[in-house]
Amino acid sequence: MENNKKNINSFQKKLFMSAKLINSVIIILLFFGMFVYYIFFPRTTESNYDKDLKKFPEYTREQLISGEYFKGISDYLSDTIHGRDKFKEYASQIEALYGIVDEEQFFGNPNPPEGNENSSYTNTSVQDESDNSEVSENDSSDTLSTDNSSDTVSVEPEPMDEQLCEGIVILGTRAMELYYGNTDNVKKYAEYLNAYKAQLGDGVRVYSMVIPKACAYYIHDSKKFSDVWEHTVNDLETIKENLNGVENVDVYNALLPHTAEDIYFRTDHHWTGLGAYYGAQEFAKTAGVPFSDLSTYKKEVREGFVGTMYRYTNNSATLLNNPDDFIYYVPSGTYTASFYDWRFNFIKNHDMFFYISEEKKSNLFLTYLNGDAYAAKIESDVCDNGRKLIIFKDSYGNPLAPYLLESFEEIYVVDIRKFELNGIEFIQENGITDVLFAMSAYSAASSGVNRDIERIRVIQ
Amino acid sequence: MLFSDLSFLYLFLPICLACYFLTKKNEYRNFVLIGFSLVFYAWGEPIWVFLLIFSSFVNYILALLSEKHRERSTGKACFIAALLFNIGLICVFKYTDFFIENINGVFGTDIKPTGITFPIGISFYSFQAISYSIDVYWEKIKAQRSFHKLLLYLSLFPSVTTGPIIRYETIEDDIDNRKTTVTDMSEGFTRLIIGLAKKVLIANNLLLYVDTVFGKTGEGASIVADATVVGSWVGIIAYSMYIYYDFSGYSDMAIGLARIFGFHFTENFNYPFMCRTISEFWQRWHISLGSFFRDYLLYIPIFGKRLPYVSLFLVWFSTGLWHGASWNYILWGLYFGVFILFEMKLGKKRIKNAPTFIMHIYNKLVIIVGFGIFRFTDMNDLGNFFKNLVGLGGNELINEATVTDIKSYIFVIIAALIFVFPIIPLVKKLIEKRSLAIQAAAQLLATGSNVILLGVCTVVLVDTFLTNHPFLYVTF
Repeated sequence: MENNKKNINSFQKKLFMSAKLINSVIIILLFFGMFVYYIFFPRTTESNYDKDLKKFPEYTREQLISGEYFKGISDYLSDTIHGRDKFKEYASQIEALYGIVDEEQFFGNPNPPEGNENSSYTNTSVQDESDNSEVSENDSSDTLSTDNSSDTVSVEPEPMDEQLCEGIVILGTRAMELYYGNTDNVKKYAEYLNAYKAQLGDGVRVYSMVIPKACAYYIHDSKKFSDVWEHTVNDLETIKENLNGVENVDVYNALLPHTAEDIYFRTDHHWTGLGAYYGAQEFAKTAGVPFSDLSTYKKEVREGFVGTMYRYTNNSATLLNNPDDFIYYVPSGTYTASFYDWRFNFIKNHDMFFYISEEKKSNLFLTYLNGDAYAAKIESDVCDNGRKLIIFKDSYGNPLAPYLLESFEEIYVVDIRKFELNGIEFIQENGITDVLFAMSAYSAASSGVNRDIERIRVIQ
Repeated sequence: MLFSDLSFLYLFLPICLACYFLTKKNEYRNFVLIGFSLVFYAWGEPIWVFLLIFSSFVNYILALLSEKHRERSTGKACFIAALLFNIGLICVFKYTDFFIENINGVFGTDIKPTGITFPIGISFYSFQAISYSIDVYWEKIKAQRSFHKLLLYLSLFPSVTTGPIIRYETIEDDIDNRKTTVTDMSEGFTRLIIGLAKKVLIANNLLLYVDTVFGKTGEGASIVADATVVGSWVGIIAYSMYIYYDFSGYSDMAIGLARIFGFHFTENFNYPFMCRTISEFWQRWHISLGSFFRDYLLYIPIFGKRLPYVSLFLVWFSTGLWHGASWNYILWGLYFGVFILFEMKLGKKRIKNAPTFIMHIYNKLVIIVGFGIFRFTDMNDLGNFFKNLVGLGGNELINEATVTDIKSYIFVIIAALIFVFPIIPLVKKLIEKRSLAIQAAAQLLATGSNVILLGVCTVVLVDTFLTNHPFLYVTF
């Protein structure tokens, strides 16, 4: 009996020690397994969510002394861990469990930037919108008469067309940047456009299309920022009042009846292809040119689009779990699209839509004209009204051209921040009849973009 | 390098473990640990690692001399030189610019700050060196004959940057005769993972919440002023919890790591929020620092028991100053000194007879408000904070933003409040009363929870490694 008890005790003791051993062995295996994974698995070189991954630090004596060199190695290893994006997605799911996710979430600085009467974007540094996307040729439409090249295009990092406000609100499943506007800057914007009109004279029509940010339509239910939409309306009104000879394209009111439709992405800071359609329609009405109904376009859908706002909301699980459909409309009319550098040297032909790989899906907005990588010239086969259009734009202007094939014989698309030729001379030399400035409200209220508008006018 | 860096967990530690356990003799293992400890330190402080080695060497020599010539004035001189050297190191690197700033403020001078950088961990390893020198001089311990063993004691990577402040006598035997048992290994890893979870899952998120309420330290004046009354209270409670989880999480990791290598560190925290009085709080909070001042500073002959109030405030002034070169830390230390004096005057009997409920309300209020002083280095922020606490800031009692902010971190806050109670020791105690078979089953369950916690922390760290806040006490 006593022996039995001793045996049971001894067995249980062994069992207990075995359990401790198992604990130790499993954890040691985990640490060593993760060591192999962390160091020897292929490193992540591109992320769907972050533009610039950490690079292995360059050795310098100063970096070594300051400790930055070793810190750089740690950062590089952590930032480029194999399967990084998957880790990030799991992390955002975990982080959503920290609390009750409110209908309204806020990221960044809730206050307007200081130093201006109602706000400013003057000192905000320009951020990059897109990463080094490897964009291959379009495969979405074979009806286009474009001389597609079959090469793969490496796109340089591009400056963001409009500067992101530090404050972002998620209301329900929609992320929006806060727009506080800047009266002084939008007045300057109007003045700069007026100068174009004055110089170009009556033979060329000049238009201003300032595209509101999503908060102009969807912020009303916010607990903290419900009145922010007014800034957009006030600034648009200021612009309209200060335009002289320049025709205002009232996009705000054109989009207003369509707010129940998907006119803005919920996970990205841009308007959608549908929003751009209504914008283009309003422009065509203002310019008095023909315009095709949406039903004549071929609808293309890319599901599971989680755009820039995911990154700027520190990988919000709300956005990740509620992706957008990226929908774009391919015109039935044929055309030839040519792409140029910023001094308008020819690079290649390609259709207007670029195929973005699944791995780079957070950059789907680059589908339109490959983002802001090139200047473009689109020659329509379905319009011969003698009208030639140039669009000076930020990235909000990229989706407009496909809707204007039946409206203009030629459409030039030029990024306002990058163009290196004199705009007036370019317009005159190419016989352009219509000049459209199409950009987001942020850009119009930004002194930086304003300066570019003027720079292009006076550059020699 | 931080314990919560992926590079520490999955690069440094596995290589260190492999090298250590592939080495058979303790003598050689000591060299392995010294090597890795210096690499660990140099990873963040490539230059100041030489100061650490130099400091160890100076203390090694002076301790030997003070022991050898104990009966003569030379011995005393060496002992005093060791004290002056260590205190001098801290003063030069930590307080020079603070002194200059105050001299400029008081006398209107324009002395330029030196801009000298603060070597990580200097407050900790210098205090270890002081305790070592004093203990040798007091004949509590024998001076270490081997320099590399003293270097191991002072540079041991689990404690070198953020403590605990380990007494030499605690690990004297471990240095020569340690052995890692299966229990050491198992308990050590478990402790390491619990500490990691405290830091990554609770402390870091509490700080995010606190920053939402008060703004980031040093740049949140306007946000502090805007906080509601409820927001200020919940914010400062969360901040108190943050400090606890951040520092006790680090201590857990340090103790766990040391145990894996066969060292048995003393505890640094003992569920401080369970205290009944402020005196008890300090017996449970940062125990190694409190005991350092109690054992060494209170016995300075000119103060000691002859001038008890002077020595009391000297201890609390020093405690505050040790935390940082800023008046708010000094104020924070003296603030606790006042309450400890109050408790001394009140007497043990009265305190014992006071209703427990009242005592808890009293000490929690004192502690939490005290952490307000600790948080705000800017006196304007501190003033606004106090105004808001009592509703004199003209702010709302509560608003939707306050509710939204609390809701966003509510489960972290609840978890933080639950685990300030000694739940894990209680469960352990209950299990220990059961049969060994049940204990084995519980151990397997603990293994499962270790795996999950480590996995979750790893995932979160990949996402937050750039914003992974260093342990607060690293800056002290």
